[in-house]
Amino acid sequence: MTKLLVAKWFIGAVVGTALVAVSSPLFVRSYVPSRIDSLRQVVVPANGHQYRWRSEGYATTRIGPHGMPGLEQLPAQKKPSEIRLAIWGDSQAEGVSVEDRFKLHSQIEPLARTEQLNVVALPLARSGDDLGDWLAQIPRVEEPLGVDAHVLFIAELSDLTDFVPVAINKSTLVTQNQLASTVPSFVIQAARNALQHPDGTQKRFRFSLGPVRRSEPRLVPALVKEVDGDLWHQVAERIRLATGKDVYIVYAPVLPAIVTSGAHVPKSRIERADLNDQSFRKLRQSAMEFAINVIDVRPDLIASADANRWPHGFHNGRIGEGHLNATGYRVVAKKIVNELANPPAR
Amino acid sequence: MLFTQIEFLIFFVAIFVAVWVTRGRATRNAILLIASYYFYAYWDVRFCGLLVLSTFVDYFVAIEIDRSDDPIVRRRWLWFSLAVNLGVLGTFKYFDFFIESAAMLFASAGLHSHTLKLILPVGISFYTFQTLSYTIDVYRRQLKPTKSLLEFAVYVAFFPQLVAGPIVRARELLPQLAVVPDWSSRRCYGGFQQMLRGAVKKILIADRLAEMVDVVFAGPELYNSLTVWIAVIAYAGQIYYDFSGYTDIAIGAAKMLGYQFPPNFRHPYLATSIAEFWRRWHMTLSRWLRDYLYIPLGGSGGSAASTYRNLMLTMTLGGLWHGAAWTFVLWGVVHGVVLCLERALRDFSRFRLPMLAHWAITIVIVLFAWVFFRSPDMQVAKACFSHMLIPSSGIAWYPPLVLGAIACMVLEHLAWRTKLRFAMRLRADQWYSPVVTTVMIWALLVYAPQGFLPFVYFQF
Repeated sequence: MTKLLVAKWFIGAVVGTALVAVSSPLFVRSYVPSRIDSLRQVVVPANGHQYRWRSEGYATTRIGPHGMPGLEQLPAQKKPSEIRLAIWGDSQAEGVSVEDRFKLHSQIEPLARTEQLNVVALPLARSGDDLGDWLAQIPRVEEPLGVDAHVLFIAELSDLTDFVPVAINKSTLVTQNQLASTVPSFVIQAARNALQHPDGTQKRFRFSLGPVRRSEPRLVPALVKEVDGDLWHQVAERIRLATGKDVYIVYAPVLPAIVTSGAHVPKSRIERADLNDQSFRKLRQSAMEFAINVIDVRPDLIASADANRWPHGFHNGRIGEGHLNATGYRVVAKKIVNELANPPAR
Repeated sequence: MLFTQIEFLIFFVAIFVAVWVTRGRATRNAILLIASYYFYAYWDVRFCGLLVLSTFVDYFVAIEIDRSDDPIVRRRWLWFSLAVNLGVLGTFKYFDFFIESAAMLFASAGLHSHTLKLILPVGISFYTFQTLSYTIDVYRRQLKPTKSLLEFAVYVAFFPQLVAGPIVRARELLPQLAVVPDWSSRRCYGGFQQMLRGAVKKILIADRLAEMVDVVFAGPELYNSLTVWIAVIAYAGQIYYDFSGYTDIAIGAAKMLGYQFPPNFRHPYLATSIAEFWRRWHMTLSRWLRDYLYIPLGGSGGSAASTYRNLMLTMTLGGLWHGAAWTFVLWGVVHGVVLCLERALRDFSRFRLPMLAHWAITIVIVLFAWVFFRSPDMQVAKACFSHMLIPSSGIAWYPPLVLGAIACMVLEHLAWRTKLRFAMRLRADQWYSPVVTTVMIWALLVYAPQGFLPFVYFQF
């Protein structure tokens, strides 16, 4: 009887695990192997894989050449009238939360056609990247990919203040690739849930007696960061030194922001004002000195939200917060195309 | 320490092994006592003193009450116990509330409040009610006081039920602590399944629902009517799965250690009246309020007016027990008023609606009352009601996981109603039990929202 019960439970456990394994792709993000791209010299997901994102938004991204998310193939030959736009940015520009057809580069191309422009947008943004990473890659890709102009998509001004590219840790890459190619995603996710905090730091188990002292939350929101004009001058100069092509800095912060009531916020509200506005004005001024175009998407994002089409957030996340959604990418794409179609007079 | 933390799992396995390898009753109880105090001190070691105070006072008071035949002496000892227990509860839980309320009332006269800003000791409402019930039962000669301080200390501090119930009476637990329970693999398996079920309820359902509830209740005026309605229904689900999940883990843990706790929930959203709701929701609190407040006030034995008064007093104080805020008081008042109306309709009218209409009315009242319960202040409650009652525009947010969790709640209640509950028991020899158990364990590991939310009832 006991042997039969043990056998029953063993088989049941195997069947239960198989059920989870089969159904988990519907709910669990994937872990795809990465490699160092020979052209860009950065770590990118391996070409031909599909990357599932399930927590905020619900989408599958096909990884194209040079780790470009959502671009399956590069056009074989560049046409004379074609404008090749390299899109740089972080996760806000990468767009793994939306299906490929809604990503920024996918929305730019058809909108450009309506303006009689033949634009091919190259999605080169990577989650976590900032100016240091973009400046390192720009000279490497310009010639081989036939880039005519660069779009630097920034959701936070601080993305422009770091000039040092992230170093590649090859040993971590090997370990991660071994895990991603041998262990099912749901097992990796389970281990991460058990051993890591949401921010990716290691969990430390506590068995000592309480109370535990917690640090007081900061009164000033972290996004308020005044940067002086000299730094913006340096930023613009470095960008200009990296490329002689047209550059568009696209500023699309999370606006309007839903400020939720809490310890230091007496009442929830929709915040339309950008706390970094002063800094942004200084950046724009410095950029103009180096013939760098600055596209301010803030009014369009706010107008979209006011029409109850929130550009940020997802139903299976939080509306009004987080990454851009399909509507948001359309708003940004329109603004970029508008700028390409009607270049400012210098 | 939260039941849903890995630390608790490690702690519980250690205690489980320790109590089943020891043989003596005293050693077993000593292990349980040390474990329970460690469990409490893990949160805040400073408040263990209150547990010790409550334990000593009621242990010795009960002996003195039992020893004396003089009604005056007995009553004096009872009042002493009431004063100490309710004094501690009142100081830590209600002092600031009453001072602030008085200051608001007399603000025009220039009265300023000086609050103590005391931390509310976790579980104080629960263990205070437990120790009070023990002393009152001894006073009523319904229970003989225990001679063992160790057993009584375990009864007060027993970790599975220490911080959020169920409110176990001394006559239920003390006799169990007076013997060494026999090992039963069937009972142990049942306890494990109940703990697992509780974890699924808490982590996979309640915490998911909380993700929407917390955001919408932080600013209901920003959202459209449908979103606010979904958030209110989600809160009904959150509090049910959070608290019944906690209770399942508590009952399951006790069962694995060899002890039986009374049930606390019986699918409350199937109730067709508020009276029935209270027979299905937080049942151990309902019976405590009935036996130690409503009946001593006179219950339903007097005139109709006195019955209504007793109902109102019981429910209002029941609301206040949940938290020191006017929103909790109003929640209790709403339930009290509806209980009075139900009684009046039953006594003075023969008109009866179809059962489905009774259920619909009950559920709407429960939902509206939950708005008071969840709202941090009256402004938020007002904004919720205005968006629920008047179609309003605003952010439209319909999270699929929340809608799925609400669907789970409806299906679970329907399954119970349609007698499909046999499938929920997961007997060890059924072919589907290992499959479902494995899926539940994987689901907890894979789909749990990262980071742990404390149980809602910990704040009471």
